[in-house]
Amino acid sequence: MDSVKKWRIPVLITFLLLGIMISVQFHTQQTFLSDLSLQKTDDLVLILQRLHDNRTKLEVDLYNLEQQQQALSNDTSSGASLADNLKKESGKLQTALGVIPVQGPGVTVTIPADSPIVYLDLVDIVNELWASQAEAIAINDQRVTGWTTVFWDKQKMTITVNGKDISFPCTIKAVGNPDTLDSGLRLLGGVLDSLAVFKIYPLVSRSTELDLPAAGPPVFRYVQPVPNPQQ
Amino acid sequence: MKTGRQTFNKWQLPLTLVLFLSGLLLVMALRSLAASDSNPTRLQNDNLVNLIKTQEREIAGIQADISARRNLINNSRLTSASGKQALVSLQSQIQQLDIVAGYTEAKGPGLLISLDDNRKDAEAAQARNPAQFKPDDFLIHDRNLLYVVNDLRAAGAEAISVNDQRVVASTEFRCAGNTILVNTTRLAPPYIIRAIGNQNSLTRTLDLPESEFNILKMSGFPVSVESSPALLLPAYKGSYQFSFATPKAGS
Repeated sequence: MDSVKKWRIPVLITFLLLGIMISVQFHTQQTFLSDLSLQKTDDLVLILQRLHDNRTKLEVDLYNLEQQQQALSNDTSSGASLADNLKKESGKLQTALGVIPVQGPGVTVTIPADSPIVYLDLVDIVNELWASQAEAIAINDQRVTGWTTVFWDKQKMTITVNGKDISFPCTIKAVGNPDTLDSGLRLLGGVLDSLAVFKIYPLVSRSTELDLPAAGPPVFRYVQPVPNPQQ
Repeated sequence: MKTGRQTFNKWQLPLTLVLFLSGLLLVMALRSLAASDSNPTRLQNDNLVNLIKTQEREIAGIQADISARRNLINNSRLTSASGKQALVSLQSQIQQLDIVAGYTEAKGPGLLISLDDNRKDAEAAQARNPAQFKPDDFLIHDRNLLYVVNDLRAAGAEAISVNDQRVVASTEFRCAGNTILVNTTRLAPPYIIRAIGNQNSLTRTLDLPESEFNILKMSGFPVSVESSPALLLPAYKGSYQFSFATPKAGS
């Protein structure tokens, strides 16, 4: 009885210390995860690079808007230049939305017929292509838009894009800078590496001229615009 | 003498184990402390963080300038176009496209989804088995957001946002270390996803056993979903720019 009591106190103290240390360790870990300055230098450089790219694009946008503003204030009477201006803006929006066919250089990702692919793999590849600054994407003959559905049809046991069965070999075409798109897919630990784990080996080829089809216009029934403040 | 030796053996094993564990924890704690304080890359990282924060501030300024100018231009276009039939129809076409492109705020019925890191289970798991604790298993990752958004699109969502970022066709979900970038903007948990669309259809998809929302819920992440008759989604503040894609001739 005496000997039992003897070891009880040191063990109690040790466990108490252990508990305190675990909680301290956990909190250090939490701050470690949330503090930006404790991230890996490589990751910070990546974030900075993306911000820089984004800023460059926004500055071009701003410049174009300034030009438009000037054109509008210079000749409000001249309908011709206003029409040009409006047509240009409309074309750009239609390209962005994917409702007109486009062409340009880029890459083609071909997934062979016998690949054990799931629909989320297609979602991953498309996401990586957008992250690598793709300007337009199509899966087989379906243009990828903000309202594109990529899903697994349980009845038909097949992957569908916009409700249409995907046939293999499946090709994903992306218009953009071929080098940026290609290296984005091949990032260490990136999308091609993840697919290789499942023995899926898509073929990536660069093209100087790709043709992408248009998507049909969206049929929206629930969303309403909130008008911008009048100035 | 013999009994004394036996009791000595009895507490020797647990104590060794406990001391060994404490030693391990101490080393881990000291290591992360060292990483945070005396690491030579710390200074370099501080500079990078300053650059990131400056860049983010300036980008916010440019974005505000852009949306103000876009409003002004739209208004003066309306005035200039008034009375000229061709221009009026072009102008109203652009207004329709602006809505789909996310250049305006959007309102409508839909779902409000909240996803958060699993801090409670993380703390428990670390206490149980500190050597094998993987903090990554308890965080929401870029792919989790991407897959929830994909499920919502499949359910016919007409407009989606994550925190203050409107999700458009070209929106990317990307990890940089433990940071999630959406529209190249850093997001922090909790992640609030708003989706406008048919509430029944959206709910049905989230309820599927294989939906990403359900998988996160089953894995113990603090997630929630509620219906709302009137959601308000932010406008897209990013850029649409085309240096490679051109409208196909003849279309």
